[in-house]
Amino acid sequence: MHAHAVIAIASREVLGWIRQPARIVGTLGTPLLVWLFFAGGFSEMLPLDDSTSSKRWLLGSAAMLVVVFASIFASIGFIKDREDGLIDMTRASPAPAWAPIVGRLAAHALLATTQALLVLVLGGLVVGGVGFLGLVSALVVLAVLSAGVQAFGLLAASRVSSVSGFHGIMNLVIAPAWLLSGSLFPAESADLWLRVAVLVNPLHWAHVVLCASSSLDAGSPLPLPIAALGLVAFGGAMVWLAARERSQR
Amino acid sequence: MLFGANGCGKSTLLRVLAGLRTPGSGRVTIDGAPPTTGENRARLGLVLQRSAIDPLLSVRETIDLHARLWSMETSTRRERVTAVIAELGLGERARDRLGTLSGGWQRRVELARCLVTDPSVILLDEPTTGLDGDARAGFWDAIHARVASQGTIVFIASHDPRDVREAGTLVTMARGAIDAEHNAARFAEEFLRHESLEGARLVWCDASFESIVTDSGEHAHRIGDRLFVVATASSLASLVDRLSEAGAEFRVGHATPEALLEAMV
Repeated sequence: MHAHAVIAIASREVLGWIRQPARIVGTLGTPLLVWLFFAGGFSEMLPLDDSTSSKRWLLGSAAMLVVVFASIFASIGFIKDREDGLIDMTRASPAPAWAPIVGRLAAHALLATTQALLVLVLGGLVVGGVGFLGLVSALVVLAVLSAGVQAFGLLAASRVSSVSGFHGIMNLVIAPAWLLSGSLFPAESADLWLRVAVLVNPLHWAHVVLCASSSLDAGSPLPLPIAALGLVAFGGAMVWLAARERSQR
Repeated sequence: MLFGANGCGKSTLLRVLAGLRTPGSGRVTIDGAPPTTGENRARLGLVLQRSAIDPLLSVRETIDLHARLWSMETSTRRERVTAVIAELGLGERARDRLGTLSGGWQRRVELARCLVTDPSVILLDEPTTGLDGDARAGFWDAIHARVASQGTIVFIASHDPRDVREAGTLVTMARGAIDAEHNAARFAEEFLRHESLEGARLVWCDASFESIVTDSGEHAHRIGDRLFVVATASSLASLVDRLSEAGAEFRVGHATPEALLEAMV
């Protein structure tokens, strides 16, 4: 019923992204570089069967980093739109408050998964082992994770008054969440307190499912079904909370 | 028109009317319903004080995006977007991105965006800020044409005396409340047609001296805590004497819109 409004906002977000080449390079280039460095120098340190497995394992980490960056950019874009009065213009429209949020999340989830797909395909060409089905299931996982992390970012962005304020949340929550996702080091080999921090992290749940899609051991005591359910619950809850939060404003 | 100095509450009132802000007390209804209902939102057009534009979108994309938020049918939407682009004289810039346009053109795009949905009530917050003479005239021409053709109701918040000549009803605001209602035509005549008042001077003082001013036969305009009078060359000396005798602190300046604007702030 409100598809016009959702599509309008989503297309505006995609157009804005396409028209900022620096944003494309930043979101895509950094994870690829991180992966190249990690795969080149860090993979031998991982307690996996062989270095190819380690590189594939770190490929999932790089794909998740794409999602994290996309979420950060989306949240900063939201704050800028609010400062520019564009959020007020959508609030003053007859479209329900959730429609712009859904449109925004859909657009950035699409952009994030497209970029993550590129990282997976390019990396897969180097290390191999990422099949078609693996790619498809990885994209589903990354789309759910992207929607959840972005919705969390929007919730956080709603509570800060400026981009600099959001940097604090980025440094304190989002970036550490990626570092503690268990995609840089196996959770099983970490100290107990660190293991707990990893196990309650939604990015770790995504990592477990991503590894399963590539037939890799995630290095986690968390069973796959629990991780998958947790990820879906996280994504759904965050999107619902973000849409509800905007409706109440 | 809501008229008053910066910070007197004009923008806040417009945001309350637009349903973007909850009033501290009281309530706003449009035909018995709050402005936040979908039906009432669909009837409102809004131009904010600060330009609310996406510099990466073109003129046509900006107006089209707005129409899509109103869930307009595709064919109707295209017709309306094309029509409003022509109405506001934006045809030659329709494909340009907003970030490449001057402030005046951007303001025109914002008005086009507001008009594309055919609102029956338009809220304009300092709509002519930053516009030069021609752009200002073009902006008001478009508003007057819309009022004449469709009977649109227009609320304008402004602190610029030059906008007063466009007003049908003029009320001043101070400290978040309606302060006084003025004769808009007389206000405009006194403060804006200064070229016809040779030697006239603007005198302003504390509003508590209103009786002194009116006793001297001058017409005073109260705006917030201050009283503004345009005294003719012949009456100026007498008014100044009366105010001095009453112990009033007052100032005298040129009777120009710019001087009034400065005195208000």
